[in-house]
Amino acid sequence: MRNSLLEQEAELFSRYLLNRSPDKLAVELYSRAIKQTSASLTPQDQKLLPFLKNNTWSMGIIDSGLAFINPHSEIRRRLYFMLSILESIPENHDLFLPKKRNQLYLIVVVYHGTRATIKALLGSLLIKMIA
Amino acid sequence: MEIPDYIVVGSGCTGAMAAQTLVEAGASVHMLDVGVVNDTYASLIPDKDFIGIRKTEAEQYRYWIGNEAEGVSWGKVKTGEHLTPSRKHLLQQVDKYLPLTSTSFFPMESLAYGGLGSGWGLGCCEFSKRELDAIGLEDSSMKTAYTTIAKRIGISGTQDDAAPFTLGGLTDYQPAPLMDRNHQLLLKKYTHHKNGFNKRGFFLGRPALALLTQDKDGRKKYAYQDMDFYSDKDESAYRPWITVNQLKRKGNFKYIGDRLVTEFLEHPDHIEVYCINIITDTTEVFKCKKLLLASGVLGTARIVLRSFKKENVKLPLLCNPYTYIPCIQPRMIGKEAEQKKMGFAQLSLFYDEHHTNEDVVMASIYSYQSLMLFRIIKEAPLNFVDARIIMRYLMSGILIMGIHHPEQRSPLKYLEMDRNEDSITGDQLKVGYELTEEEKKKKEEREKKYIKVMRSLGAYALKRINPGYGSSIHYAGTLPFSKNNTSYTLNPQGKLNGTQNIYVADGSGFNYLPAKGLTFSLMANAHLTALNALKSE
Ligand SMILES: Cc1cc2nc3c(=O)[nH]c(=O)nc-3n(C[C@H](O)[C@H](O)[C@H](O)COP(=O)(O)OP(=O)(O)OC[C@H]3O[C@@H](n4cnc5c(N)ncnc54)[C@H](O)[C@@H]3O)c2cc1C
Repeated sequence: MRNSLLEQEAELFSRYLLNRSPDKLAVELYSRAIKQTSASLTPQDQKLLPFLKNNTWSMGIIDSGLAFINPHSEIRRRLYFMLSILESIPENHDLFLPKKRNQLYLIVVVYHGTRATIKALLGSLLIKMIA
Repeated sequence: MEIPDYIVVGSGCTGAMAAQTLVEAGASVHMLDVGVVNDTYASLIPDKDFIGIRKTEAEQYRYWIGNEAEGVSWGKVKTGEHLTPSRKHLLQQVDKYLPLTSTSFFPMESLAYGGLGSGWGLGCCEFSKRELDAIGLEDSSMKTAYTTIAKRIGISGTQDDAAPFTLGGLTDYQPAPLMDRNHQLLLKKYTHHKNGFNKRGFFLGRPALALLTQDKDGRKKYAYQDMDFYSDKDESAYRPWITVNQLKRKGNFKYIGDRLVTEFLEHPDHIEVYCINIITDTTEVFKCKKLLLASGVLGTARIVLRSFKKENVKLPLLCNPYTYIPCIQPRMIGKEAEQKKMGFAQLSLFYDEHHTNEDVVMASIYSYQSLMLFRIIKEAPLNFVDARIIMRYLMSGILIMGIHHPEQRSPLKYLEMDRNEDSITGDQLKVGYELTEEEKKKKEEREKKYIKVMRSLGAYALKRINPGYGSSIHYAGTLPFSKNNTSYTLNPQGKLNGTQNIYVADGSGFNYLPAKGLTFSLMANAHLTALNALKSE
């Protein structure tokens, strides 16, 4: 049961982080890593985690909010483990290694920075409402 | 059983160098060491460069993050916990056998085969005459010893503005390794405005590294695979276990691992060395004519404090204050990953305020690539999705500058032995470490100057990270050199005052700790201490 919950979590996090479904290895590594390094969920995490699973649209907002108000939360830790696992999968190298970009790409970067900041503000409010 | 002439405790940089000197002189030498080894990951790493591995190797997760994700650290971590899985064994058994308590000092100790040298950054510096005087070491014999050590371990470097602080008087060295574009740009800007920087006391140049750029003694030249934090396949980087492995082939040397030395007892004609056999958990006694302690400064303090059995003894301690500053060089952002790259420091920036080569501050500058993107994404206060896109774009322009400050003794920096019934040895080290207000102010001022100079070089500081006292991994000064025969000091030959035949070959004797990497000087001093022990026969 616990395994399948972690598998669902791996799928959810991978889709959120890279917009890609995780392969079998990534799911297995994630489940193993979380079991090995088990840290108990805080009351805030206990409320946020089911909310995230039922409202996948809120992933980015909650992640941003936590990065701002509680960067070491258990949810962020799990997302971080998933991110490190995904980076270690050869098929994902194209999303992590530096790539040549022209100067216009700066616009994209500024867009992402602004988006992250707005999401952080919205996320802080949403987290306060949920937990 | 025949009593060996010498027992050397420890297989780190100092133990390896002292043992080599003794063995080459024909003495019989036993090396007692804990010697943790872990080949789990090193043997899995293919002979390919970082980018090649990233694109193709199915099982790469094993050495990037580890089978149990032990390479992924989260939250506030202890010094050394950022090590990659294949270097994590440096920390194994330390909590169990080397307990330490402190509210302000968080060091990294190692019981690995090769000690901390199994993961060191290879930066080598000759200390100036003034610095050696302040330490309590004799200039001319140290200069000769530097040459001997350079011949043994292989040094690469070049004659540039950094050379007076790094290569010093060395003449036998290999060419410096190639630099990546990130560092080339920085150096180019410096060269154009060199006079201005020099006037302000700043000197930029290539570090001297214990890294081969030409084949030497069966070791291969550096291949620019950028796998320096994971693998020592070609042995281009000097690691002390290379020396110990070579010594094992000699008839007059014996390596005895899995032994934790706890104390010694000196008799008129021999010394008893007490150990815990960490496999059987039993006490064993080894005998020798002379003992050389090279168990790292904190390790040696434990052994000496236990052996002298006096209560309430406080020993001084030195450790370079350390701050690291991630910077961004806008000219490099958005550039493609470089295939031929190096994880070691590629430039050193020295601040010699009074142009005297004394009390110099040293910053080592690194590029960021093979430590993976996830580690820096964590540092951004953003959601992981946007942080990945932004940090990936910035990555080629990231430079990490690690600043070491010189360190003086003060009553606020000390260690003592404390009882701890739960520990295997029944005790633990207790450390107090604080800078005076004056020292803090000076440190702050210097760091601000570094940030300003980097800005003039075209690299902008992102934040200043102060990982706490102990994090420089440069320790010294617990049994300071002294010409007076006082207890808990060393005589100028490295002999422990109050004993007949016990020498200390690590950095315990240093009265002062220059900011320049100390290990090259530790090795030279270990060689001299071994020569002194031989001479006194
Ligand atoms: C990541 C990293 C980067 C570094 N970069 C640099 C650099 O660029 N330049 C520089 O100058 N320095 C650097 N250093 C510091 C350098 O590694 C140390 O100064 C040096 O290795 C110390 O050598 P040592 O022999 O004195 O002690 P250690 O390396 O601590 O060796 C101690 C040895 O003694 C053994 N031992 C300890 N206690 C006992 C006991 N009770 N019984 C038996 N055996 C025992 C251990 O197993 C070990 O083999 C770096 C260190 C690290 C970790």
